[in-house]
Amino acid sequence: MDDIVAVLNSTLRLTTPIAYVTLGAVVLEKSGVNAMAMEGTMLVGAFGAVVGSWFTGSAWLGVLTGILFAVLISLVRSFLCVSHQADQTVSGVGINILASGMTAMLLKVIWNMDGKSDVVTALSDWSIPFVENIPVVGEIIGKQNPLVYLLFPVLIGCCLLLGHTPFGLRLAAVGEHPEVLSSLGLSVYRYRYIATILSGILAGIGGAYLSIGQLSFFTQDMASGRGFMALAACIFGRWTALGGFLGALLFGFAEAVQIRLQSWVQYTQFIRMIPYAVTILVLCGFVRKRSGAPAASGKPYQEQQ
Amino acid sequence: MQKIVEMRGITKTFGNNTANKNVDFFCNRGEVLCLLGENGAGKTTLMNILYGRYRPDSGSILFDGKPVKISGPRDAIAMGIQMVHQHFMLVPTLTVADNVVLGREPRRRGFYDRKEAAETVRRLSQEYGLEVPPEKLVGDLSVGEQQRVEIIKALYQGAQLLILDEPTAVLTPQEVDDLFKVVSRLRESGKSIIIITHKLKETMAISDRVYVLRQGEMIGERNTADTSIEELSELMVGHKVATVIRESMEPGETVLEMDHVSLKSANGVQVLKDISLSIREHEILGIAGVEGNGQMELIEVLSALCPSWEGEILYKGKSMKGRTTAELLEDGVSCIHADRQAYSIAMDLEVPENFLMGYQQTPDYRKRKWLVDWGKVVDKARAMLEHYDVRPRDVERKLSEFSGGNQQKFVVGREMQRSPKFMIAAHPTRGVDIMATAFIHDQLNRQKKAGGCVLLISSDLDELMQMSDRIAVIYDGRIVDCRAAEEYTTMELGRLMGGGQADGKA
Repeated sequence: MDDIVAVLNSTLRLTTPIAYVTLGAVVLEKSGVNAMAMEGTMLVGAFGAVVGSWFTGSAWLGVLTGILFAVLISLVRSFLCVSHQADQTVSGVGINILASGMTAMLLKVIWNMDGKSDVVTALSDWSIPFVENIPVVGEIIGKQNPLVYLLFPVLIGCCLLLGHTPFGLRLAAVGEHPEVLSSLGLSVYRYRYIATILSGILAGIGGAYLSIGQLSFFTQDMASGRGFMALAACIFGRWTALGGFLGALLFGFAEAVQIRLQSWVQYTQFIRMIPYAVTILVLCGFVRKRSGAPAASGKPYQEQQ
Repeated sequence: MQKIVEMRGITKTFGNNTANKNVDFFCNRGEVLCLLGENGAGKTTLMNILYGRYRPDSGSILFDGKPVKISGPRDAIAMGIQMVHQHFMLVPTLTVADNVVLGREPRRRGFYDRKEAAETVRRLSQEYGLEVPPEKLVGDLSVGEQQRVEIIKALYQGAQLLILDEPTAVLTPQEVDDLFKVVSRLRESGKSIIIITHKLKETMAISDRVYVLRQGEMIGERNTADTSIEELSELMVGHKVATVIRESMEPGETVLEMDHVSLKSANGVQVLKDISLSIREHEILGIAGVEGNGQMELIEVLSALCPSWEGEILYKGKSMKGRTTAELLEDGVSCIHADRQAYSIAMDLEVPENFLMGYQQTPDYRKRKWLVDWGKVVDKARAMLEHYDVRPRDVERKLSEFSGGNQQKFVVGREMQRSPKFMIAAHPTRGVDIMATAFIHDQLNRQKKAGGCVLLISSDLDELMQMSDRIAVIYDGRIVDCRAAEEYTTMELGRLMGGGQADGKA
């Protein structure tokens, strides 16, 4: 029983970063820009959060800085592949490499350290009165990081935004058939940039949670594939916010199980492969079928003059 | 009558190419206007200028008598100008209602009001007699239905002037009738309609007035009542055009025989049902049918792209079972595919590479056994462009730099060069203008004279009646009738294509 509770508790914790980034990936892909750069964006977000927290001493200002950094790098990428029709996969991979190298270099510049930063102020857990005293439930959701709690209103917000607003409708049109929007006199770029900013914000929160939510410092390449898992979760969820969240939950669970199993098994390398193996299996199972991918995702579009 | 829109002295160039040269044009309220011209005459460019997608190099536009500047579709839409493009501007993964209201969505407390959207669509569709299911996904609709959605969308956006770009190109005869009813109804309610087309019959049937464009210039304006098909076609092309017609010949030996052929698609649907057909030398067999009734599959079976059929097919007395496309090609089966860009040519490759396709196995174009003799390929390709009048005559161009009509001539030329025994021609003149159509029809007749035979698949009934010796009607994967072409009337064919009964059986 304790094991189950512990696994569920850590599932929630480990799902959170992936889930934020997944929502960002869904919004971005919906607009017709592929989510190849989520890994790098998340990493930059994590780094920005530590920088912000380091300079201001406030964890919440750190989160904001993380968001800012992630939005900026997303904008750089969209400038290349939206305004200038660069290949989206190449620019995405480029951003990932840039993010990895740049954060490593700035570690050196700011803290003169290799591999990890100094310890900074982290977000402290919130505990919910009464709920935390309920057995089992309390142990799972009673005391968690504020960003874990924030995830749920954000998720609901994304569902509403994509499914029930004029904006969501237009976003779906941009990702599926951008010319339609152009022919109505609406700007395709505008919607792609708005989606870029939204996805940057979400990836930034996800990154901030990694560095100053779960830990209190930055380590090199700490996103460690979560950005790609988010992409997988987005595909698993057929490009819907809720589906994407469920995908993230699956990966979070795989990670939680993996961590739990590590203490029991001798060859932990194999156990640590679990989340990645799950990612591959999920992609094998879902990518092949006609699965509701936005038709224009990954395709450059030039607006008529 | 009151002019709703007037264009004066419009000129537009793209690089060295002048698409519109000093064009004058106006449209009255409550008028149906046809803008007639061959492919590349500049019709669509002119309308795109009116719709704000292109800006003219010079010239002015007046709306309701006042000069206006249209710097984007938004401006045009605000004035009540709407355009239904040839390639529909619809999102297949959204519902009909979503597509209609996109850009001007009804809201309730900031959220998108789906119910209201569906209600609006229902109301508009009743008002104008345009039947569409508001909750269905656009991707699940037929082409005709999608066009209705486009028209409703235009009306919802407040259209006073509706521009239809080649609206009948993709419709069945019945759907064309329905469309014309809708157009009449719109005219009655005071809307103006401009139809871009190259089809003369339809122009005569629906329009009040006609403008003819040729090579970017406005050649003439006529009241439809005062003109004739002959006059319009001469204006359009610049000289008289003789329509190619069937040349009856005594059929020779049977070339191809299909005996109770059936086919199941990958997901288990019976797409071809018990088809028995035969084609003889000196014969063109037409296949009439609404698209999606098994024509694609028929082509795939006969060109060995789909090997899993049942029954028996004899080609020149030998079974087709187990033979590959390459073997058949060698043996004189050649195919003009309906989707030329998917099956027949590679848009990003130049003429010689495209010319070689299908010949790559033949020793004619080899040197030292393993190498391609490009010099020879280029020579032959050049000769082919000349012989089949493909323009421009430049072998160094990519296929994407040729117009659709010339791409089609290229494909026809390449396939004819094989001197095939059996040619499958699927929609050989779709989207092709009058001159190129006449040319392609002439080539099909030559093929027939040379002792070959043609399976002509088309959704253009006039083409089928004109060219075929016999016509088989395909409906729901089954051949429902097969007779000599002159025994059908167009109406009867249309009815059979829709699953109805033949005359005299009703």
